[in-house]
Amino acid sequence: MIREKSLESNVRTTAEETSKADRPAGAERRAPRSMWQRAGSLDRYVIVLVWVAIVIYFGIERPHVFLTELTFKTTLADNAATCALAVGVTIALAAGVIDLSFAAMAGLSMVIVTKLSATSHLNIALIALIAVAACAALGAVTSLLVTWLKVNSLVATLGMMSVAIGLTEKITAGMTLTGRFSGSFTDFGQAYWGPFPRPFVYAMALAVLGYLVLEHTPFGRRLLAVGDNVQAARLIGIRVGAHQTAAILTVAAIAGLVGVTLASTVGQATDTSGTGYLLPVVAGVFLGSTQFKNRVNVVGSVVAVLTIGTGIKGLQLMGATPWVSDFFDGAVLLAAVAFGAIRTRSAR
Amino acid sequence: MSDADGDRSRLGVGTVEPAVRLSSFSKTFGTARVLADVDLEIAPGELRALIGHNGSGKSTLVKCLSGFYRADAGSSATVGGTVLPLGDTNAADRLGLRFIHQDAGLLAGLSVTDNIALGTGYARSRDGRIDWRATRRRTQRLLDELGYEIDARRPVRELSRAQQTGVAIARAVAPRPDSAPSLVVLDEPTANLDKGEADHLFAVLDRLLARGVAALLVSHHLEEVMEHARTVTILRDGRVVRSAPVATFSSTDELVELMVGVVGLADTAKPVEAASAAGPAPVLTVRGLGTRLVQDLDLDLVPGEIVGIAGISGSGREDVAAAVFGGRPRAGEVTVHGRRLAESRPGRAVRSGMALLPAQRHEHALFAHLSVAENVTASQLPTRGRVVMDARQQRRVTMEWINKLSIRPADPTVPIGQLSGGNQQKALLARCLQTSPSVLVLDEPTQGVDVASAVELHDQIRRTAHAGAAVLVASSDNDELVRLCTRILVLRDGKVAAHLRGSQINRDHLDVLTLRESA
Repeated sequence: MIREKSLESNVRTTAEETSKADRPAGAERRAPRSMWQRAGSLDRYVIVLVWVAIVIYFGIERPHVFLTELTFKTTLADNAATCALAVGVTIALAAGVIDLSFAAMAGLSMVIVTKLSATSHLNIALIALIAVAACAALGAVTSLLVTWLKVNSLVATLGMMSVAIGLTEKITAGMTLTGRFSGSFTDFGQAYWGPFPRPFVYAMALAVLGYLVLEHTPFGRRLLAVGDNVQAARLIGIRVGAHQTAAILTVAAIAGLVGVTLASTVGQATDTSGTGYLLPVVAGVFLGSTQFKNRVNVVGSVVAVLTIGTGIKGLQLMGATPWVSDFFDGAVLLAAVAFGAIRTRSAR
Repeated sequence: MSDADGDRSRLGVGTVEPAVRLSSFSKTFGTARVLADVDLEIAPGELRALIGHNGSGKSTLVKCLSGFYRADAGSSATVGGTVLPLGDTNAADRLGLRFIHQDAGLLAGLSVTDNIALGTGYARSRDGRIDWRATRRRTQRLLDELGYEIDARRPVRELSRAQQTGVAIARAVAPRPDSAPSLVVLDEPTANLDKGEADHLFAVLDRLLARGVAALLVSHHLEEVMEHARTVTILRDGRVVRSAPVATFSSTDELVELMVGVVGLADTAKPVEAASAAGPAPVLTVRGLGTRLVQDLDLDLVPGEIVGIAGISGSGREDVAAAVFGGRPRAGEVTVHGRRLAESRPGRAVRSGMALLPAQRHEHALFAHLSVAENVTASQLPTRGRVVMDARQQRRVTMEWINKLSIRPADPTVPIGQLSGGNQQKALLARCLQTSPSVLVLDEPTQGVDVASAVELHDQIRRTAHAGAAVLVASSDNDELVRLCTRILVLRDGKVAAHLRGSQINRDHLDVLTLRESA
């Protein structure tokens, strides 16, 4: 609530500043559209209200289970990977690349780390590097297909998803792998800083970085330009291929790092450990794209992912069975897309 | 809904029901009243022009009519005496309102036959399959009747712009089992056509009018309005300023004054004087330029001059700007400041000091979902240090352009897609100038732009040339070239047919030169 108000008033003051400072005296008054916008902009921050409502609802229904430090910690820990992946997917989508392969790549990275830790005597840092490099290599192939051969990114990453899943299955051979990790690497994924699980802190740091890059660097703005109109971007001298490649490699690298962290957090890996992240992340990013700005944005993605995560956690504590989370993720994705569509229509 | 009354009055003997009658037609967005109490009547067989500068409410009126927008309560419309339900596209279609949009709205990958049959239905054989021969024959007959020589089997993608417009018209007026066309609305149909093609279009329209169909023509081309329309309705700020027969106006200037609401805003400024006789070194040199249409074109541009490229469509005029810039494959050699530019490398062209304003705004220039500020500064984003973007500087720079070119609304944060065409084009010119180019390449700079905005665009282009840029303008609007250019190259069949300078430049001369071959 407080946050929403401050955002609103921020918007208003900057608008007033510009209109005072830069408008010549006697120019006609600001278009009445801005009034409409002010009233209509509430739905851009509605997710914050929903989040608060979810917390209040489950807090009342299950006060002794939901409003506890343990629930707080596990919710954050459960959603750290989702948040980090959402940042990557947001950056790709900003550049107009729809990536479906990230979750499978995170799974691949997780399996590589777990397997190598148990079967080789390599340093864990080297193992992590190998895992991330493997993901980056797959990303490089994808980006060649997308930027050089102009393959539709949806198709290219769908294919790459299957390739990554196949490699994962080859490594696990259908077994559940258990890692042999040193204490410091176990801390890397399992310890806390204050009340915050470390992976969640990494994810937030990544989110801040992603936000700064996308909203506050020319590189980020050029990514958005490429995502909005490839032809126009090319004709003003933006190197479209280079930007799309950068976006695809970013997602791949983030997926690799998330895999490394998950290996430490979970300690075990199966061939389906990664794929479960596909839908929550995509749902979060699309829901987030209807919030704060009228396009994909990092803050929206992260807030949406956490809101969905809180909702699922609450449902689980109410005693819901596992099918609920898949159902809920899918429903949120559909609702988010419908919500965006309704807004575009009502803007007419 | 008094449908029964409506039917009775349509059957009434002796009274000529107007094809369309609008009364107190209004549309409000939020608190902005973009259409206020418009009354309009169009008789069967009448060609009515609807003019007004961008933002005057023309497009809104058309969209309310088609049912895309729902007009405000209290508005009423009848079509041939039957009440038109508001905000219902199906009802509008059923009552025979047909709309032809500027971009024609055709399915480029499908054949002409498919494009038309998807609207009117396919002929079926007895077992329910499509009877392709009959469908094709029907389509071909329709095109022949309208006077278009188009092969119904060809994909729409392969047709010229004029032919595509023809297909759109054929689709609009094709006979259908459920409804007959009563009013054809054409939105800027001649924007991409040259004089000969436009004349042909009006000949086709005449045949339709003779059948008793009414037509509403939305256009920025006032001469075309004077020449072809029977009556004209002028909108300003959402209100009808005047509705009268075209014959009551003595010149287009009178129309302009009513549209703009100011006397003496005609675009009469003199072009920049030709470069001094001493002849500074050319900044842009083109040798042996070749494309699909252009053959072996040479060009030299010195700082401060504005060189025009004229020609009907198909003459190669439409290729020149993009090919020189490198956005389209080309043969030949282009040098800027003595540096040779690689082909199909727009990035290098930009870095060597060239800027292009492309002809197809939506496809090739606009980031429709990004703000005006993002669009204006897209080719040169202001930074603090090397990596961090300076958002305040970005807003300030944009505000300067907004004031300089009077872009409305004067708000850098609005998504540019919400601006009118003229304001979008001004912002895109600002983007080009933001890089301080030494060579400015403009392709159809005022296409689909209202008169007032065109004046402002032209002023800014002249000022840029004055400040020392070399400007290349390719345009199908000969008036524009005459007003703007220090010299003009006339293309015909891909070659330079004439080269006009100074006093040789006048409208009639240029018209004759561009059309001579086809005449």
